[in-house]
Amino acid sequence: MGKMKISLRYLKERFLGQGRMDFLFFGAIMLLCVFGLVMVLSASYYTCYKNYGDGFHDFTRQAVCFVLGLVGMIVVSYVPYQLYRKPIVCGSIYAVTLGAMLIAAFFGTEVYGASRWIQIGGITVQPSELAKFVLVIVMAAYITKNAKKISRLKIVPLIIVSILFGLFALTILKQKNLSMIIILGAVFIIMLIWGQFKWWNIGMVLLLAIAAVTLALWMEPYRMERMLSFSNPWADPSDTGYQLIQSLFAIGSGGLFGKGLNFSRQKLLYLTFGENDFIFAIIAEELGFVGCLFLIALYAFVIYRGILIAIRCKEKFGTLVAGGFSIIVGLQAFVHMLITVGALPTTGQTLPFISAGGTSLVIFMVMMGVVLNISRQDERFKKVRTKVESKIVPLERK
Amino acid sequence: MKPSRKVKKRDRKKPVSINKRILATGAVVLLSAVWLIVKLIGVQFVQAEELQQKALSQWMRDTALTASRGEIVDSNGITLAQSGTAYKVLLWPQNISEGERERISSELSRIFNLDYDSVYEKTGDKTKREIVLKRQVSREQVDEVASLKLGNGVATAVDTKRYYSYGTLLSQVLGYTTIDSVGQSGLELSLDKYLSGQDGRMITETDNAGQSLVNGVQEYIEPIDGCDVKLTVDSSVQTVLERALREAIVVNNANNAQGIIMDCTTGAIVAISTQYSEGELDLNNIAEMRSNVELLTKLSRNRVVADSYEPGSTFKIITLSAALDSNAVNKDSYSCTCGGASLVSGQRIRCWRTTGHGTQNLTQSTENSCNCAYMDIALRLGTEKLYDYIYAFGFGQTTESGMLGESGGIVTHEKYILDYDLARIGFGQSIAVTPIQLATAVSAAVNGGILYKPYIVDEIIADDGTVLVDNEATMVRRVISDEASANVREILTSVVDNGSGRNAQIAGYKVGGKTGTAQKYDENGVAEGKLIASFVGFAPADDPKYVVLILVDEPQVGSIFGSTVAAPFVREVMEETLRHFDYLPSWMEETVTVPNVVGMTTAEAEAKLLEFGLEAVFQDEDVVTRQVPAAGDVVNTGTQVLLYTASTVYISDGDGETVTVVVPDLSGLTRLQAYDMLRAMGLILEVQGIYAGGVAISQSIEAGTEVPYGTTVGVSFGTPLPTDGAEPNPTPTSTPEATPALPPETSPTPDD
Repeated sequence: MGKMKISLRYLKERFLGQGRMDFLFFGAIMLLCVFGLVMVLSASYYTCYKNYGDGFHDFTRQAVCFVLGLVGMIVVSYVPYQLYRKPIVCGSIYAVTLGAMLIAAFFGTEVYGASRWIQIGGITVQPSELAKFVLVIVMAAYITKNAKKISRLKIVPLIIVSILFGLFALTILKQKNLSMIIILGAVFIIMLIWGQFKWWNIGMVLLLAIAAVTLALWMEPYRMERMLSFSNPWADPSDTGYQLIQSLFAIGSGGLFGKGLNFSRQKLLYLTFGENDFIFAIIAEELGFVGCLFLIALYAFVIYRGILIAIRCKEKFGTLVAGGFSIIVGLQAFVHMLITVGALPTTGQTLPFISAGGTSLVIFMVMMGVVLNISRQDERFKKVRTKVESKIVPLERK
Repeated sequence: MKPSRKVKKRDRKKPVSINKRILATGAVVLLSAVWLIVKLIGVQFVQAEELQQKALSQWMRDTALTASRGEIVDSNGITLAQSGTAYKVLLWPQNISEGERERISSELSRIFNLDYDSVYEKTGDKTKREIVLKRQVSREQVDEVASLKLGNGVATAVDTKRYYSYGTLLSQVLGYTTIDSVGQSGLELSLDKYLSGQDGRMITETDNAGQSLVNGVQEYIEPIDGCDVKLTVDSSVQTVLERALREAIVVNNANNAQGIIMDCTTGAIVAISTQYSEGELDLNNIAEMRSNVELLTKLSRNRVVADSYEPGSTFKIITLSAALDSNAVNKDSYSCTCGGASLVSGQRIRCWRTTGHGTQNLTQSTENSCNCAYMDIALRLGTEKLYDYIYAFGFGQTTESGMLGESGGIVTHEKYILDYDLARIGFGQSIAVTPIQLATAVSAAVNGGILYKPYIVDEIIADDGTVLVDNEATMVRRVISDEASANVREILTSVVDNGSGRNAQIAGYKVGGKTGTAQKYDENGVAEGKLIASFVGFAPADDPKYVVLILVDEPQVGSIFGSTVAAPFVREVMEETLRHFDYLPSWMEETVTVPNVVGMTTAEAEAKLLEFGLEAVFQDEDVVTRQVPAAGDVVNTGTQVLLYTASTVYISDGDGETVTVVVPDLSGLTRLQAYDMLRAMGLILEVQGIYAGGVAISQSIEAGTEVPYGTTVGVSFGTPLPTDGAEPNPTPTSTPEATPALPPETSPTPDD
């Protein structure tokens, strides 16, 4: 790295001088967030009023996190994403995340029998939410850097990325956050595919995963029962099937146009976690099939736009990051929705941008900030080049 | 453009296949959206109806709204039975923590007098959401529970309870309900469909915790309250009857006593009761009484309708009516000679008076209650004719009075009746009737010959005021002619005026009636020493309105006759009934001089006092040792004379010692004042020396001395100024009350 003259003017040009972001993408995210805020208020008001005497309890937190997330997203959208590729940056992000997760796992606050949260001041943070974000960046960085090794069929890259994933997975396993492991695992495999690992490598990983899952289920058969209860919730309507039945009641009574915003009956203490793990059920009840279609379309648009950004990105790292983040959003959104309709095993899975849960919201928004930055660097948006553009070069040149 | 070339160079590193793979992955994710939409259609449209139905049932809470049970009121509208609010205590074991359990259990078991262990067990039964700990508890107890702050695990709720204004009054007829206010006996049971009403419902939208929603939909089906039932019974008269029956039990040491008062012009039952020596049926204490089911069953039994007995001489009224109506005998020309027994078909049947009644006409035969005469009359009638009347009077079948458990009595089929059976039936044996049958039949015999169906329910009025049932006098049939009935009345009046029914005379009123003493039977035939003494009376005798029948079952006194055991109580009840219904006495009360009854048995004393138009009041059957007022006192007829017997328990509660009083200081009082003062204390004034006005100057017993009740105190009157030296004027008084003749018997005997 040569000598750099870091002046205010330089920084201004370096950061603000980038192209404009993909406003459609940004708009869709904003729409989701605002929609989410409205739905969180609707879904949580009654429960919060009952529990805390303040109906706005969850909404207020969500709104604060939304503002934080929005600021974070915009700030990050100005940070050149190439920064995260540097081994020192992504390495330390990985280390910090893993550390925080370990702290959460061993010294964290226990809620519903799982230790996932750490308390910093008055704020409770769930570090494992970061894992998806970090895994994508770390793997993308590693894959970009070691493309040749990967293509030469060396086993080392596979082992290294597997370790990167494995450490996260084990920590999360300790936190008993099964759904997070599944999402993380899916992200891992998708990144392997995109990273052009050989198919037999991927197959081996898949086999290992299947073996691990089988082993886990074999060791604790009640998990199996719980996992499979989704196929027939009526077998045990008061225990394992309860939530899904309540979710189905909510969706089923929604009909074409729903009961109208705020008119859910199931949120009145019948459907538990209606403001996060089952918020889609409340949306379906209040806004009906039409509302659901709108939401699905919105997610589809976000994924489409995100993938478009990924494909348009000329850099492999940027492509992998933008694609990975978009897929995470899509994956998690559809898994959440499929769970509520009883198509997938009932595991706690938040709906990105919508479910109550500050950490998740902020992290998703920041992730979208990175994608937005990738969109800023799209050549096609840089139709008008500023004079200072040449000044960027020294940094790019390194 | 050097730098951009650099970038482009790196760009080349990105293989196109990545884009394809990303696109493929995106396509897979979007495909899942299609799957989602398909599932969504399935849930929101295909399964929707089923799911909505199920969801609806969990959103709605269906609460039963209890209809208020109707009231039962007497003929004056006085409430006898009504439903009111009580409370129940509920446990929610899931809300009771282990730490609180002990305190909650001990407090609750203390307040409600429950077994601690069972309460403790209930508080820990986490499998149940709600347990009803105790029902029908009072407001005070609920308040106490609330004040103890036992937490969320103990709750109270509204419950209903049946309240009876007078717990024991008419209790057998009214009957009682279960704890859930469902009729279980008496009218509460037989009229349950009217009284119970129809429960309503309230369907409310609630949250999962059961709290109803502020703007929730509510469906409200109003409960229809039960109908009110108005009885023909007059509670005042009922009170009188019950009091008299209880008195009859105590005085006669009887097993039970039954009574019925009927309006003989309509068949309406004015009062009806069975009293038992074991106690009374208290409808407000049914919960406690349930612990002794046997006793409860017994006390609940309304024997007036449920149990038949052999009526004895009271049945002669029926024979008499039949004979007069059918002209089998002639009232004026009939004559019969009683030798103490009659021989019928080879069987010797005794008259109650073994020495015989001699030759009597029909009225005399009835006055004497001569069995021989009635055997003769029955035989003259013949089986067929008498049976026609027996059935016409309603015997052998229930009266359909509307009261539960009515018995039809026992009338042996006429083809099995031999002459001696017929003769026996003539004076009330070999036939069993219920008191209500007899009262109904006698009503017909004296009211002009019309048999009315007895009834106790006057009206049933729905909650909205509609009269659903309006009972009126229901004529069953004409049994005897008006003329025959008039003759029956005349003869029966004579029985009370001159014959065996004298004890039923009421000063100022004309009363007719007939005594009866009947045998009881057990498995060995006639039960020795077990009798039923009865009296049936009616008044006013020339235009009868009320028929009163009283039975005293198994009295244990020296001489048992309907005339001595039952008649005085019929008199008492009849008199109060007539007064209550504003029948004015046809002549004014007279004053009589109290006769001396000390030394007689209470029964004799009572009879004697009755002759004088006085009423005897005593506790135990024994020899009278003292009487108040004393013999010789002039009092109004109808005054109660208190009889003390050796076994009377005195208030002083010493070991058999008599009541004593402290002699007051009489000095300075006029004769009248002294008399009043002494009389008030139960002492007797005797003027000593010659009375010539003035005030008391000396007394035979010093003031402050304790003397037995009833002691005579001699007092001299004169001028109190000794310095005057004036002699009191020796003018004897003629005031009758002042110088009562005091027979020596009135002096107390302090020992038992």
